[in-house]
Amino acid sequence: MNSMNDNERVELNELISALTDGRATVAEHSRLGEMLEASEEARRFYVRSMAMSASLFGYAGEMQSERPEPKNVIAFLGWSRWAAPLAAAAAVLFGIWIVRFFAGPNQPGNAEEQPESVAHLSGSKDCKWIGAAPAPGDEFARGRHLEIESGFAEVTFDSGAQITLTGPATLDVRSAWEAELLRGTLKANVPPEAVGFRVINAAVEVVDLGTEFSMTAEEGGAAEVFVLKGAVEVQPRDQGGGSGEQPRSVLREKQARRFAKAGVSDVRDRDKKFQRFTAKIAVERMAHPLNYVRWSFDEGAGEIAGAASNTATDSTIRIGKNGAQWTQGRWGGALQFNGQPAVQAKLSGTATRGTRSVACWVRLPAEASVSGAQSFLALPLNHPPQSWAEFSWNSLPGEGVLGALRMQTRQGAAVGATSLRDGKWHHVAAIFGPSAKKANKAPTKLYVDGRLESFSVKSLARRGSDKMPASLDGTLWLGGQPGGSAGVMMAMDELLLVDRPLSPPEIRHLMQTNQLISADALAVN
Amino acid sequence: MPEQPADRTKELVLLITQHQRRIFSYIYTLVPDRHSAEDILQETSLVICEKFSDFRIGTDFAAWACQIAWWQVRAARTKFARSKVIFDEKVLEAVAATAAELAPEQTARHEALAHCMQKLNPRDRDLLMTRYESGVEEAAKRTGRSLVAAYKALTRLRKLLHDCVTNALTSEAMA
Repeated sequence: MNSMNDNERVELNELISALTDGRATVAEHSRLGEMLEASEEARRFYVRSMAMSASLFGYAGEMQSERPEPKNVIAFLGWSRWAAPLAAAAAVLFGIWIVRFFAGPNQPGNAEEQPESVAHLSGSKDCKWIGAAPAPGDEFARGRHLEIESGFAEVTFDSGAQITLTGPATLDVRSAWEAELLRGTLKANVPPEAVGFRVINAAVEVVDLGTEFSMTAEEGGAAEVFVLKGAVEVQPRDQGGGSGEQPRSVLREKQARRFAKAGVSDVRDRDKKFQRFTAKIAVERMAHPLNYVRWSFDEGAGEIAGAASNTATDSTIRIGKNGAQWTQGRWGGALQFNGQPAVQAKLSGTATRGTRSVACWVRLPAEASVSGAQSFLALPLNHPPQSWAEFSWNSLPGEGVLGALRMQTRQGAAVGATSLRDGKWHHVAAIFGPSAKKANKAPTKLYVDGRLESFSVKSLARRGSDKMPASLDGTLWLGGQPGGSAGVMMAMDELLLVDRPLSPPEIRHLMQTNQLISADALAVN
Repeated sequence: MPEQPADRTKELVLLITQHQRRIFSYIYTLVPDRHSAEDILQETSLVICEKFSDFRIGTDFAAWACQIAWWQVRAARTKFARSKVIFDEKVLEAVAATAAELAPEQTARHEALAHCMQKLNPRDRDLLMTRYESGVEEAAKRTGRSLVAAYKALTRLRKLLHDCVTNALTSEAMA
């Protein structure tokens, strides 16, 4: 047998899946061996399938993480440690890799990890909480249980989805992309960047396709879904312990369904309920003040890129005669880097310390060389002292998607999942650094074109030294690695540093308008 | 074990970092059991370190490392002789030859897989990621499926991803 027929292809797929999941019988294993021996086509399918599973082990370890590094692993990361004896280095390297590549949530290596925030309280109105009341802006970690007796509470997820709870209601925050409504009513507003956000409960799973919908969950387990705008995908959940998957369906604007143990049915008093859910809920949002410094790169000529700031800050970037060139940007002008060593700028005032968010537009050549420089921005961090965050595009396929946004700090590297290496402008934003409340916690969030990136935080040896010399502390580096002899080939526009985490709506607004959102706009947005 | 200069050690670390996934993938294809494959990877890593002075910088490190892994897999056959986690020698050699032939496309397939996963329904993606992180039982529990339903869904999803990756690469080649 060399070429297989359709039945044999189906059989082969089943056998490989059984083998992968560790449930293949001796007879099945033997049959698979026969097929592999007889057919080149079978061997090719098998090799590609197993390589895919090997990749999935890696992605599962990486993409679920969004977690800071365990301290005992971080301790190994200093580059100088690799001067240790070869065998020890190799053992450590492979040991770390295996732990990190495959580590699941229950692995001992994760025991010291702290829960990372995936959402925050962005607004409320007349809200009476059951249990400790969170303050406006408080962050919620995975698994956070929220319960309100009355009033309204608005939760913004890191994916950009916003949920307004109407009390009495109980909601579990499961991730940046998922919530569980245990009882009560919610209204979900999901921008295009958060398509795929889902709300589940005992009766139904609702996957948003870019829309606004409401959902009510009754104590008895039934739920009703109302689509106010756009469309959602709904799938009844098996409440009877059956083995089959329930069929999915799509609900469109003005459609509603009731999901219960008895099955799926129409909603009673549908029009009355729609009228109630379409009424605007005017939650009160608190505008958190921020300090910023931004470079528009609109000069178009000369050797200086001026900075604008809402504080008395002089953070002018001196490009020099042979530095970057001026070019057409995403908004006005931009800087084009052509491989020269990085441009340095001494930051002053609030720009020196406390950066928590950075955003800019970048354009990488589609054929950017993997052997060339990849770093395009390095920023001083306030913790630990004399450390910095370095932004680049990922050139190591073993660490994530080639061309994806990569952020490296002393704690490790975060690599996104969207390739920037396509010759187009992309808006990138990162939230990083320890917050004042949690000095030992360094959450990292990456956004590309307004969409939250899945990423890995990896324990890989960093390139370059671990500590910025004191004389260079407080220095911003553009277009290359600090101290590097050659720089990156790419264009950059509208660089912005902010001293607090930007929320997903703020990042989206910045991307769409090139303006920071005002307090008034935030209140009605 | 010969002493290596610091630069040579850095080179080794960099090469292993770049090619670790491919080496594991090769071993896992020949020994389709994750924990056994991890054991062989550890043994392979030590041999790579011992023999690194033989490696010529500029040649194909992954191919050289996979050659070492091949001999480790062969050596492990004795250990797995009565087990079902490894094929007989004839099949093993044929699969190894195909794996070597398809090695150049692996990075592109790995990257395309990330994009294909983004296209999955979140519940399906959750099932898949939980299965590869914590096992099938946990994945079934977390996504509210029976074990049988989870096995079926996983088989369907793997085929879906396999086809999506193949289509993505075919479209790219034709573009």
